[in-house]
Amino acid sequence: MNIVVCVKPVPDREKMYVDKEKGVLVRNGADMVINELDYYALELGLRCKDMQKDFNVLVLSMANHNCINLIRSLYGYGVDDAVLLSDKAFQGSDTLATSYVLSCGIRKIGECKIILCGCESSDGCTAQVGPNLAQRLGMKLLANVLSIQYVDEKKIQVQQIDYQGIKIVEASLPVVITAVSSELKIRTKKIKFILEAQNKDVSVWNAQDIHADCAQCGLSGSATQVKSMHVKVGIQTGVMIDGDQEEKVEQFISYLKNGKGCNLYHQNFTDEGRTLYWVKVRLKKAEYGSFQNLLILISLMLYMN
Amino acid sequence: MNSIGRKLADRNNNTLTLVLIGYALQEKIEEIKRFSYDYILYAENKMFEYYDLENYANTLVEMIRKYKPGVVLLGSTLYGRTIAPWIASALKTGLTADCIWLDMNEGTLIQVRPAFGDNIEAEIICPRRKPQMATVRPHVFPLAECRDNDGTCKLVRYDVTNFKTDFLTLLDRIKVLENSQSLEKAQIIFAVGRGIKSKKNLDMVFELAVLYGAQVGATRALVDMGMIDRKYQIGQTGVTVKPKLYIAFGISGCIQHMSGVLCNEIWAVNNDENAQIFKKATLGCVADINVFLPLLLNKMKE
Repeated sequence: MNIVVCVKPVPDREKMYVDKEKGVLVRNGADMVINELDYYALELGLRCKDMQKDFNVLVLSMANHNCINLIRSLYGYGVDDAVLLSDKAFQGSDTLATSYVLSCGIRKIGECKIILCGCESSDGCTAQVGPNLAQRLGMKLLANVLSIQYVDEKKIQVQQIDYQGIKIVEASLPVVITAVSSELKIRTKKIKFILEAQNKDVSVWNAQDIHADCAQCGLSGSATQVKSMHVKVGIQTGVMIDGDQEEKVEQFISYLKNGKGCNLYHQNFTDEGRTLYWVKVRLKKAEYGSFQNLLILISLMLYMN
Repeated sequence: MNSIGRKLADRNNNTLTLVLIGYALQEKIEEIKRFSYDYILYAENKMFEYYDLENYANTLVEMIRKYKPGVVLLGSTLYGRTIAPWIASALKTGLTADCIWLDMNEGTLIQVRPAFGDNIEAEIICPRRKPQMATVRPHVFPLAECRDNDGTCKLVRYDVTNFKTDFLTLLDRIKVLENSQSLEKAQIIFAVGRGIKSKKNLDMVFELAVLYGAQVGATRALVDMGMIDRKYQIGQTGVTVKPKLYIAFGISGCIQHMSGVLCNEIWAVNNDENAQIFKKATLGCVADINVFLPLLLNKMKE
């Protein structure tokens, strides 16, 4: 029986930030890393394997071919197989197209009773691929799962977040599980696995391999389009308090006494308020000529979306 | 969502319908009738007493197929964020998550959502497929205004016959959250993160909050460490807050937390001058909160 963990390479956020003064996205040569929540999904998958030794854990990713080493590195955690879905036709996929491609990959793997993914990605933050997969594959969805308590060939028991707190539920397989961050300690890579991984390869499948209909992949398979992007600039200029400890506290208190709330554009519900805000932004943007960076970002977003 | 829905519908000369699914809905319907909806479409059944994703989602899909709305909006809540993509997938249409602004242009829904930690806003459209679907972040639009019940809101009952009975089995509950509404509505929030090192210092934050008329919030990290109850948790898996002033004590400012903070007046005290939070803060102070807080409390008491 196969457990599939879907992972997504995302740009390393830590190294990326928006320079508000200049209105540019500073990438600092940000590398691709595995989306943080996907590590929780991976951990859940590996814990299933800890409980049932004969389960197979596979990682599945749709990404650019140059992410192959990143995917290969996951062998170090003890996964049995890694599959990379990579094709020009997949580029520019939104969540609808992405989940289509992933579902084709999952069908090709076959015998998948448990599909795991991070609840959402750190770049897109849509939290849509998990539920989308469940619908496409006709599986039950267990969203926002903290941990797995029990699993066998037929059923699974998990801790799940809901409005009232945490509940423990049991579901019959197959299921799609989305993982949220939790107290779960994510295991470290083992030397044994890293060494073994040297002889293992990542299977790379293209659209033809997974029998994907290209009209449902990539840009042509995407329902949504990014129309434009705006960088918020120059609206907030932060003040840093200086001085020694005492002075800092005193200044902080004087701020507490005087300044409360300004710049509440979310509350400017009128179109005029909104337009004014954006005019301000657009002017700033033109001033600093950040167009080139925006283009990089847009192309990046299109791919990652 | 009534206010934004009304605006979009009026702009396009369309009607606005509220969909209700549940059990024993009459009281709710009476309450909602006062708002400016043209129709209330409701599906009432004992089977809906407990939330089951597939039964709720299937009903919504059936309704959408029958009435063919141009736009479908859902709240970007814990359930909304799972049910919406399920529906969008069934209907093979686009869905924009966590919108903070919506507009209508010749039948095209302009959906604005944050990207890359709220520093960038993307305008997203769904030009070729219908319905155009979006989830909307809670509290970004003003609450609906009541109007006198002039009988213009028509009730439509929708009967559901097909149910899946292959439910999840609830085995146990671990913690029960207390009502976190006071945090959601708070005007001023003092939020605490991992930077706080002891329970004593945490108590100081509570004391300060009382002095200043603020509510206390926390990051997930602190909740997970067992320092504070889950009901105080702000962020993606906690509550979304919309205060006028948000003061972050010892919070690094990671996206999972900050996405739950809709506030343009963020102050931060943190010992790491490179912390993410300072990029968002309107007022920053580099200091160890475990030293800063006792001093602040003493001065405030004076």
